Amino acid sequence: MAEWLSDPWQYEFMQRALWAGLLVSIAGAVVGAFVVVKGLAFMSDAVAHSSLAGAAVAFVTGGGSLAINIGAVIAAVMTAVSVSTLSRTARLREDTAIGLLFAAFFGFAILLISRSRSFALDLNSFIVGNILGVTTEDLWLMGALTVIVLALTLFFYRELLFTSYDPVMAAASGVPVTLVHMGLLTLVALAAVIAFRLVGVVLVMAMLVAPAATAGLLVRRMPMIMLIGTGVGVLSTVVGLYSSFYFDVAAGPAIVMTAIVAFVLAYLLSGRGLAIPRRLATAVSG
Amino acid sequence: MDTPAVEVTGLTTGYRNHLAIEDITFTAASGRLVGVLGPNGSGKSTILKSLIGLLPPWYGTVRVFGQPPGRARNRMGYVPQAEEVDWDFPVSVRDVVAMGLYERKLGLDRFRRVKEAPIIHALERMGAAQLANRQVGELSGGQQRRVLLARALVRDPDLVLLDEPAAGLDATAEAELLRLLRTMADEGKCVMVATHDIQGVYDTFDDAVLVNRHLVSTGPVRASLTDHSLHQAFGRQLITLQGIDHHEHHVEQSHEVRGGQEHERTR
Ligand SMILES: Nc1ncnc2c1ncn2[C@@H]1O[C@H](COP(=O)(O)OP(=O)(O)OP(=O)(O)O)[C@@H](O)[C@H]1O
Ligand SMILES: [Mg+2]
Repeated sequence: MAEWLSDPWQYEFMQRALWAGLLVSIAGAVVGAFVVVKGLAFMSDAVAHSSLAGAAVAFVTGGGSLAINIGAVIAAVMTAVSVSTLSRTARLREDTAIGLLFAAFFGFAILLISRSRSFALDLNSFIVGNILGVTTEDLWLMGALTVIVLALTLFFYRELLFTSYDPVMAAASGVPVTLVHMGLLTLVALAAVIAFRLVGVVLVMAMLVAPAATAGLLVRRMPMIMLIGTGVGVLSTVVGLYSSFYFDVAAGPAIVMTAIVAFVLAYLLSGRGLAIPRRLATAVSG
Repeated sequence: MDTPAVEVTGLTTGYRNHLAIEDITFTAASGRLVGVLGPNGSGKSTILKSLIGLLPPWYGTVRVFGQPPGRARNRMGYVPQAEEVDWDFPVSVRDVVAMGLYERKLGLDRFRRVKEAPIIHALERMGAAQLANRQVGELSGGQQRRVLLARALVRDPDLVLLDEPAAGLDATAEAELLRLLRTMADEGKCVMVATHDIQGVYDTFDDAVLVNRHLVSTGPVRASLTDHSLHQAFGRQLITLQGIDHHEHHVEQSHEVRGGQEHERTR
């Protein structure tokens, strides 16, 4: 039994995968707490998909792993900022703006990629994730981004909380709400880029939504949601990696499915699975 | 007390390209309890939003303690009318009241713990101290209202702006609120309340601002709330105040504004 448990961690790629999972869990839960209470799931999904455009540009122009990740961050942040700007200036509902930009960026990415045969392989790793292929360089980058996300969230916690809870009063109290909202979307973008290494752009939303939503069923304070959410993310990563190692399934989806199971369990066990149903409903259907 | 708490001059503003109020001029002094009256859609909420700085003026000026609203934020407390607050949000009552202490600064002192005393004191004033650790989502409508009032009062503001604060409060709470507002005015604060309780304003408030998109009348309640001015503001609706002296006030329509434009001040 002990061997069965320790075996996988003899491999360095498994160790790196675990570290990656830890980083994704932290960034995912901290940002995810806001995503869940604010109903930004669709936004997270769009940002993750859009990041592919930046990655594609970097790849086509001959950039390496670092350039590809930076390209992804730039595209993701651009999407976040554009959504906020477009929905205000063109008086579009935010989800309409998201839908438009989602399509624009993702379409552009596929267009670029369709020109390049060799990218198909890397494309696959972007779309479904390639956690077992995480390099040390990737880890450093993910770590740096996670530190940035944590620092920003911690520093601007009051503004983020106030604006999320009551934007009108926040504005009346002198919080620059538009800036804070854009900042939050940027955090979502950063978290999405951190997470897509692990589970791929398609399932990024799961890492932002599932652990925080699970935590939201169990505790009712933002800092606790972030803490418990991180725990759920780490647990899902560990279980997912074991499954991948022993049952030969893709690691990313295994992690995501574990997180979903954790949510269902929490929903059933909490006995007050009605704590956040409305927001969750919008998050899931979004 | 030279500069009035509120000084609004020729204020015209609205939402996007929809004109809401036009050429509103009035002052409100410290130490006064001021009622903002008018029919639905007459611009009461719009005036309060302009005072707190949520709506910039199109024309005219708004001064709070002699400064633009943005500069006087720390001296104002505000409770909006139909607050779009998300009551399911995972915060406690204490967290919500603490938001009233927000200050815009970027120093590291932002990490200092929020002081407990003013929060508890504000909740006590609203008779809600025992709710401090509850989740806001677990409260009744009236209790939520009290929490929002506590948030507005936590900074001990010099100008208090309340938009129909009594909506949803039980009779006791409403009477208590009124007493509290009276006390605050007597302490030297300016308290402005948008309300539909004209009789209540007439009986217990000091001043009134009567609007119907334009300014109809303003000044001490006995002078500004007359048969004539109420008729002007509310149109055909029959509103009769108890205790109003019809004859006296025909003579004394001093602060009324005819046609919403010219100010006739014949004291
Ligand atoms: N958010 C908004 N967007 C566009 N127009 C608005 C908005 N809020 C108010 N208005 C318009 O501005 C005018 C004044 O509205 P306001 O809310 O100030 O009235 P009020 O006197 O507070 O009414 P009530 O007694 O119903 O609260 C109305 O014609 C209304 O239609
Ligand atoms: Mg109103």
